Amino acid sequence: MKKSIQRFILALLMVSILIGTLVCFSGCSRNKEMKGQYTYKTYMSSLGTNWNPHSWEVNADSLMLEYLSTPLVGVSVSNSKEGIYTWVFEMAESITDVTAQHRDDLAKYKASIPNAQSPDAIEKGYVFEIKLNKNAKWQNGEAITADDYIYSMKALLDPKMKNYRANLYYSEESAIAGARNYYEGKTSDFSSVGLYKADDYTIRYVTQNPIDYNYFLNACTSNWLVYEKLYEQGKRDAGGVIVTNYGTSAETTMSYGPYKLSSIQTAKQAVFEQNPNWYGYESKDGKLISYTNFDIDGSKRRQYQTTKIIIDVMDEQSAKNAFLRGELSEWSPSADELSVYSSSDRLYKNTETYTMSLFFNTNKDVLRRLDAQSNKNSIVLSNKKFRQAISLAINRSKFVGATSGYVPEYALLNKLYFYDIYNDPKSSYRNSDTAMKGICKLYGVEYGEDKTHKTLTDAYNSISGYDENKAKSLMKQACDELVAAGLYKRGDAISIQIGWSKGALSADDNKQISLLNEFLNSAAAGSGFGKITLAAIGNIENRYAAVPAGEYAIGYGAWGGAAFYPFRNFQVYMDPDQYSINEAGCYDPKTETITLDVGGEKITKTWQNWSRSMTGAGEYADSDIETKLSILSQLECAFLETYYRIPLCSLTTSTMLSYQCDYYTEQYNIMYGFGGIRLLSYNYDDAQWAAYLKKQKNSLSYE
Amino acid sequence: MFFTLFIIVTLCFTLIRALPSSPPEGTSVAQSQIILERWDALGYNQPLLVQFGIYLKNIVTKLDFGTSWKISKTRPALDILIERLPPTIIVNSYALMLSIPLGILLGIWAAIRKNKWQDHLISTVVMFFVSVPSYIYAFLLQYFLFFKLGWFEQTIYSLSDAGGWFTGKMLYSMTLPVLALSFGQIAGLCRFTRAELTEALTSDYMLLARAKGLSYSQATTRHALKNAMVPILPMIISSFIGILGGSLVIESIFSIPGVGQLYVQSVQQRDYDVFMLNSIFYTLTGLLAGIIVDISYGFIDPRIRMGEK
Repeated sequence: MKKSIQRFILALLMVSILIGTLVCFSGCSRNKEMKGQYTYKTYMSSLGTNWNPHSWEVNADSLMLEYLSTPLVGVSVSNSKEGIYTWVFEMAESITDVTAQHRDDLAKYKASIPNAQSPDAIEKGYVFEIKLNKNAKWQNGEAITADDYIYSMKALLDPKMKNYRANLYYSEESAIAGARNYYEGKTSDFSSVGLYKADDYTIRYVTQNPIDYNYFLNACTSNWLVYEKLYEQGKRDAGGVIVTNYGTSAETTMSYGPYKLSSIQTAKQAVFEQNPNWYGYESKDGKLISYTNFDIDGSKRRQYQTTKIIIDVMDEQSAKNAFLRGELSEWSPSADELSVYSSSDRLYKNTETYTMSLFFNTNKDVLRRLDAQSNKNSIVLSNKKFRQAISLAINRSKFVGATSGYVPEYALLNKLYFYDIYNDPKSSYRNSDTAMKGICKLYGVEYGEDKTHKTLTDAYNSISGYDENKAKSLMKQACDELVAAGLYKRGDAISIQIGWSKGALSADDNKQISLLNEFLNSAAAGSGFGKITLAAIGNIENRYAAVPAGEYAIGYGAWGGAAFYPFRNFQVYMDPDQYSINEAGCYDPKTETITLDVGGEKITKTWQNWSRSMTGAGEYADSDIETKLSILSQLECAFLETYYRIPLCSLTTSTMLSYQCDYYTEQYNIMYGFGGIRLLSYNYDDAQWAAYLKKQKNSLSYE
Repeated sequence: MFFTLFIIVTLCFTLIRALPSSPPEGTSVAQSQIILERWDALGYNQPLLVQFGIYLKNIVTKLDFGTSWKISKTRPALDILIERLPPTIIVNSYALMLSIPLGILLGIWAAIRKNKWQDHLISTVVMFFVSVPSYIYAFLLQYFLFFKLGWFEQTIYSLSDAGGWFTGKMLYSMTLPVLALSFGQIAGLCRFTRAELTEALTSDYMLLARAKGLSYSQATTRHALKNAMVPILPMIISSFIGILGGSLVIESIFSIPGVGQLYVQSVQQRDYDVFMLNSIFYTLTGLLAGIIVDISYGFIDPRIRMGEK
């Protein structure tokens, strides 16, 4: 009896402890939801660790910088229905081309003048006067002046610091005159660099090469400002390189953007709150409110309604769980999950500029060496018809249909490239007549009254890059040629490794490689080639360097970005002095030439010179748009015809947005996205959202 | 011990540098050039022996374990490790505080109720928890206790949300990772305790103790249990040392910014100095655990003390 009483009391005690614990824990919710507060909760797999504008390296770093800084010039919506953007002067009040008034600067800072021109005749494109926003302040309330800009640039180009982003200002399109010499330590006199103070709120920026005004504005959509005191305090000698810890913690950061970094816990969470000293806010009823100083769809709009941004580190599965319980404002579904949410009106999709392609090393000695190691008969890649057959054998629609998150491509530049976006927001290169004609000619598709396709557009839209009959024919021809040359024994198996990805292979990667094998073997059937096996290899640190280095015969990757000036994009394929070219052993773009038709005249140049001809001080840099389009299209088709690179698909980005908030527009625009955090609006404040979630029992459906 | 440490450190230094790691490519030749120049200035192009010599010299003369260039740029590697220790130690400590008493109690109960339904039930559950990896529990716990029922948090709170490492909120948010870590340990301890106690209960001295007039529970607690704990205690001691190492997978799943996660990141991102410090730390921990366990045997069991007559 005594024992049973004891046991009963013990059990009762344990139950009481359990209930008590649960009652206590019920009060342990993460945050107190505030009325009138709007918190944007997002996630990343890893937080930025270095948002110093001089040395940031990865996307996570640049995202932090986006909240903490404001560019000289931004871009936002002007007319969302028409997809028209507007420049927004932020840290700059105005930017004016004053080349004509300051021609002396060209000689003083040794700007590059095209041979045919006299410096005295130059009217524009070199000297830009930036009037600074007099209301701009640092987070601590100190005014931002011209001195801050000059100091910051000097620090950025400091030869002892070897800053990662220095090249933007000494070698890219908006390179500052004289900056390279300073960066390379050839001079220690910063006054020889073409960035100088005209007065406390005016700086002048002298470019090394001529640049169009709009492209200069585009270059000013990033900023190089750093807070001198913290920057200098954080400096130390790391054995050969001077480094600074500026922009690595809340204490070493000085914001001048709409948000400040209120706390950051490494590898865990970053919290941003409104920066009360940002010039765009006004105080109203104890809250910081901001309205645009430009019209969006005809009127001024509320901007930066978000009062707090929380970025948590979590894996994808945790992010999904949190999103479906209303604890995250956005979530990016994986390719497998996209099919579940494809018809959701909260799904926002946009194509990226990156076109995934197969690229080759066709050097016979390299291929023979690889055949002795990891490949078998990869020597077949040295045959152009074989590579062409690969391109035509791939059914790109089926290739992208097997997974989600891709769209088929069969050219180097996709529809996100604009050739004159500053004057014509609809000037998509891919949809221009010139580009469409080039691709139709490349794939042998005709159009006209007595043809299958009546119009150019119809003909272009019919192209899929897939022609199995032609692929089979080419396979047979390639096999005969290779056998005749003694490079291949008929019927032998072919096995080639592809440098596929930096990370581990995913289920999607395996699906894609399986499809590639299916396509190739289908085209090779009856051609004389044995079984073809392509094997994807993941966890490669840098596959773009591995292929030219001869470690792999085929690589899979993409170039992208610089969507607003496609005229210089082909330097990545043709200018080894500017970019590390992925394709190797294929050709020497510095010596091999091609002939293009320019305005009815046949002109012959090296590939490298053609890629440089439409930019900077190039021969056709100032030509009319039609001429440049014609050169670009011919260059694109000529390169595609070599089959050193085979485009397959473009990436798409998909984001699910919570019911709590809305983007400004549902139409993606390359210039302003969906409106960004600037124009994000809220349907519920934090308290209302918590109440809504309680009503929904913390379970939301977005399908 | 120090010789072993030196060998392991040398191997780790050599192996991590031997991984394919040409300096990362920039998007342009100019940017690649900057990266190469920094790489060179930091000494990564020097012969391996020279790099190792400089590394050892810095440790011995300045206690400088190097700098992080990827995970937490320009911060000393030692600072980063120290910063990452608390969550690892706390989560694992809570897991031990839960798993040790529960594991031992369940093991005792199973041994006392040997071949009865209680023993069979516990043995079955133990077999399940021993077989299933901890990350499976982790996902199941997240799915049922967070996603479906909303009783707990799926990731631990940040310091900003919880107000500190030792607050009630932080403890609450650590419930799921603690449970995920505990199940395997409870099962292991339970099984081991049951086996030892079962053997002790069938010993001759137990018969003598009963013959002397002690009740079953008195004989068990005063004699059998003490003898059964002899091999169990060193296991518990090594678990205490082992909490410093953390669990790589659990830390990733529950977003715990601990040492385990740091180690994985340092390998993935080729943050050499952080990797080396982590390796030294793990090696020291392991060696220390071994020594302490060896010494503890002598304290616990007088029969195996050295030099005893």
